[in-house]
Order: sequence, then C-alpha cells, then structure tokens
Amino acid sequence: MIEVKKITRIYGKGATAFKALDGVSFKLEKGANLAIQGKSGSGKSTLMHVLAGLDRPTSGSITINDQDLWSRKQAEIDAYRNQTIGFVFQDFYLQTEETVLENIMVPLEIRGRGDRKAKAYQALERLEIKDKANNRASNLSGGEKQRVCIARAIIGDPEILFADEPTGNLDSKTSEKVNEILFKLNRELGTTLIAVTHDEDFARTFANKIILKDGKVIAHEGKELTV
Amino acid sequence: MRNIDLIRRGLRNLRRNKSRTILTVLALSIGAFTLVLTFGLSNALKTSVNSQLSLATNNELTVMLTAENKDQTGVAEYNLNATATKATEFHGENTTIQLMSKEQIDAFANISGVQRVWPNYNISAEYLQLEGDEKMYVVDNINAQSYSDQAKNMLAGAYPENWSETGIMLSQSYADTLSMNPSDLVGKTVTLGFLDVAAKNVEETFTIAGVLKKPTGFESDRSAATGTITISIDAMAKIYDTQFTGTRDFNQFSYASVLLENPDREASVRDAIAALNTNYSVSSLSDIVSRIKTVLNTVTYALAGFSGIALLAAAFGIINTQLMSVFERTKEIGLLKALGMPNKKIRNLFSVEAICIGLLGASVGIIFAFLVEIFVNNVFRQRLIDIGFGSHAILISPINVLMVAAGLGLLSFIAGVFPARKAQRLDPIQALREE
Repeated sequence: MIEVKKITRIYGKGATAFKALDGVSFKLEKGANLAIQGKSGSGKSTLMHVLAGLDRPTSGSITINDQDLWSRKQAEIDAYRNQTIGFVFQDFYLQTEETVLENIMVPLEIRGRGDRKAKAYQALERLEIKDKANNRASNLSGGEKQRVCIARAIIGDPEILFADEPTGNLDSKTSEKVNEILFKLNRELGTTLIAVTHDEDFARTFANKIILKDGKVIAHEGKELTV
Repeated sequence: MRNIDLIRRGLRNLRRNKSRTILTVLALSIGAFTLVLTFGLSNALKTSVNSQLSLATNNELTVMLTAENKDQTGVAEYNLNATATKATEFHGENTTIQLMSKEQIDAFANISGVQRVWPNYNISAEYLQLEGDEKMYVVDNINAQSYSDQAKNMLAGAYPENWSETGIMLSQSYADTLSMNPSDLVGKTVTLGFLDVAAKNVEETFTIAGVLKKPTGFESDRSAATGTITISIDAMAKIYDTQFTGTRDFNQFSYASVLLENPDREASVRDAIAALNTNYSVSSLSDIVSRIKTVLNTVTYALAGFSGIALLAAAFGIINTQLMSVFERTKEIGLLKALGMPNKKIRNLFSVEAICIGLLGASVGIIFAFLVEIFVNNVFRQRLIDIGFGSHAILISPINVLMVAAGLGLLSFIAGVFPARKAQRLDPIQALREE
C-alpha cells in the first residue's frame, strides 16, 4: 500500500523557484499497476523519483506499508532503494564495458551478498536472456538492454517496480515485448508496478492511471487507486 | 557493499583506465624507488661503518694538549709554557698542540679506570731482514700493538693477547715480496735495523707471531707494496730511547693513548683528564662514530627529502587522476547511489582506488629498487669489498619496504580524500541526468 499525501516539490528559490509537484495525493493498493501520464514538464518523473526515494519532497509525506518514507534515516532510505524497490531507467544506465551478469548483480553487490550468480541467472531466465549472461552490455540491442535493466531491477525481489518510460527508446515490436514482461512480473510476482509514460497505447494497458499537468493530478482512473 | 567487492570494483575501474593508472603509478614509483634506494644506501653505509669500526677497540682514548686557550678567538696567544708547538691534522681538525712531557702522560695512569697509558713513539727503522735471507727490505711503517680485535685481519699466526717485547707482526706485503707462504713465516726470526742517536746502526731480533692481511676499508689507502710491521709498545719504547735519548725533544710527545679498563669508564676518565688540565683535548672512536653517523643521517634525510618532493608531485597526480575519474564516472556514481549504495561507500570506493594506486606505485618502485640493489651489489661486489663497503652498497631492509608502502598508501589516501568527497556529494538524480 502506497499512500501519497500532499506532496510538493519546489526546485530553486525565490523568483526562479519552480513547482514541479503541487500537492499530489493518492493511495495505491499493494500489487496494483499504475501509469503516470503527462506531457514533459508535468512532474511525472519528479513524482516517481520522490516515490523511489531518490528526490526529497519539499513538503508532504509518503507512506509505504504504513511506514513514512522521508522521515527515515539516510541509511534506511538507501536500504529502501536497494531492497524494497526496483528501478528501470529510460536510458538503461548499464556499464557498457562490463558483462550482463556483472551489470545485473550490482544491487546484490551493494546489499553485501556473496552468492549472487544463482539469483542473477534466475532473473535472466525470467527475462529470457540467459544466453547473453557473459556478453558485454555494449554488444546488446536496445530491447536486450532494456531487459537487462529490468533484470537488474527485479534481482533483489522488490515489492515495487518503477519504470521510467520503459518503452521510450524502443521500436514498437520490442516495446510490446517489454510491456508484456512488466505485466507478467506484476501478475506472477505480485510486484506493484508504477510506470511513467507518455505513450498512450502503453498507458491503456494499465489498470490504474494518473494524469499530471503542471504538477497536479488532473485526471485518474482505476479501482485500486484512490485520489 | 562488502569490502572485498569494494576493492574488486575499485581495481576493475583502475584496469578500465589502464594508461592513466599506469602513468600515475609510474610517477609515484619514481618517488618510492628513490626513497627505498636512499634508505638502502644509508643502511649499507651504516652497516659497513659499524663493521669497520667493530674491528677497532672502543676503549681507547687519544689525548692531546692544545696550545690555545679554549675561549680564544683569532690568532693564538704566544704560550710561554709550550715546549714546542706545531699544527697537526688529527681527526680532520687543525689544532695547534703543545708537546706533552713523559711526566704529564704518566699522570694519566693514576686515573681510576685507566688500564694503560703510552705515548706515540715516533720511531723509524732502516731495514728488515729474515733469517737466512740475504736481502734487506724497507720498513715503511711501524705500528704499536693494537688492543682491538684483530682476528679478522689475520692471514697467518695469531694476534698475541700479551705481547712479548720480541714479538712482531708483518704485513702481507712482506710475505708476497718474499714469495713465502704466510704460515711458513710464523715463528721465524727477523732482524730489525735502525739508527741510534749517534746515527750508528743497531739491530734487534724479533720472532714473527703472525702475518696481517692487506689493509681494506678505511685503511686501504696504504698500498699493498707498503711494508708495515707491528711491535709491542715496550719494544717501541726501547727503540725510542735508543734513537732519541739526549735530543732536544726527547720524551716530548705530540699525543698519548689511554686504554680504559672498559668502555663504560670513558666519561669519568674524560672528566679526570680535563681536571688535570683544561687544555687536554680527548678524542675517541665514539666521537668519530657519532660524527660519521651524523653525516650519514644528514645525507639520508636530505636524499629522502628530495624523494619526498617527488612523491608530493605524484600526489597531485593522484588527485588529478581521481578527479577525472569522478567526472567521467558521474553516471556510474549516480546509478550506484540510485540502487541504494550509501554515500559513505561511494567515498570508500574512491579512497580504495587511490590507495590501490599508491600501493601499486610503491610496489613498482620497490621492485625496481630491489633490481638495482641486486645489480649494483653483484656487478660491483669486488670493487666494493676493496673500498671497504662490505659486500653491499645497497641494503634494503623489510622495514624500509613496509615503511615506504605504508607511507605511500597513506599519502595516496590523503590525496584521494578531495576527489572521494566530490563523489560522495554528487546528487544521484543530477548525476544520472548528466549528459
């Protein structure tokens, strides 16, 4: 259960201050899927960063499983980022000179786990790219890179999976495949899925939707979502 | 993140920027190399000084009577009491001394802690002749018996502990000249010819107690063709009397030797001698040893200082390398932070990399220093022995190695603090957005 209360995020100070989020509130059931839509500059990425423990809101609170997120100590927020959530970046952010295996094991490496390979192969298997395990990340196609990125996000068994424009850099066929994978994870593992997108077709496949404009929720739909 | 993973990741990053890492490591290794070599050189020098000096006794004092008032500056006042004055160079100092009378010298024998006192008998001999040999050979130097351990210097025979008045030690040069096996010489009789006060030839007979090796080390300036003999102090006194009785300076000596019962008595005996006359100037081996060690230490520190400057320059190389690394890897840092790596661990990652560069630099420098040590010590072995270096011109000790490695590790850690903090403070969102 994710509960967002009157979240405001202001960048800069004084005359140049910019309100990226302006009193956003909503509740999302555990295991649900949610698309955050909006034009660029609407605050959708900021909202996801605030939810993912990456960007501290100026005011308001976020409660994850009845626990306030931003009042936690930095070490606990680090642990939240590492263990509770998984993040799929639009630009992949893979270390191109390292192998697929090395790339996806990073979250477990940060967690301080010694036996990482078994878990890594499990994640790769789920994403059907086990055969690429020892390839360098630079030798992969865009769709493969996005799958590696997803594998890295789910290797630590997160409760919530965030995806920032996961299909933004992919052709339509590959997009469909990635789309399918994300929902499969949402269905099979019960992982809450929150994705930012401005792709109408992609957004349509989500059960719950929020549309942002100028940092405010202007429309929403979905049974597991309360605004 | 576990420390082992931190180190692995750090090493991987260094490997990725091979050429940059190698250049920084090389810069550091030059400093490490000179530093280790400086210590190695200094060790070898100290070791050879110690081994040279261990041959000499350290319970012998040399006493001179200086002519000048100790507080005098400029040209010395004329000293009525001085029987004669002369400039002498003794242990590297120019001093105007007064000759000492036999009575003055004998007074030292009454000091408690003194075992024996004798003046320097300045005698000369005309020739040396082996029994049954027709040829006579020149005698270049006559040494008085030594109280230091001479075992290492023996070629044949044994250095007598209690010298008899007729005992004599020959230098190797005589055995070589006579083409005789040194051990065959031991026990034979030689005749020493010298002139008495009336310039009449007098002969004394001695029995060869042993043959001394060619001098090496500090004494090696005497050529192998120099004929040197060593006789007892008593024999010297006897020859001195024959040669000088009745002359103007008879029983006037330029310096005296004082043998202590044991080295611990040095301070008290020095005080007692000073109490007799403040113009007595006392020197001993410990003076020379401490002077040599001071010079050695000064040279060592000066050279180490230059290496230190090289290392300081290299430290800026580390700062530069690590800053470039932070700028280049902004996205990686952002990703690691986004995936939950604590800021402190990011800082540690960069510190580990800096320390690795430092340790690599130290290792390369130390390896090169060892190679130079092996090369110099092997190629110049014989020449080194000849000039008294023992067999090592460079002697790198494990402590030197550890010190340099630890020092460089610390230096590079400190150099890496600024870049590591820069990485630590990066905002993950901004770092990821960076193009």
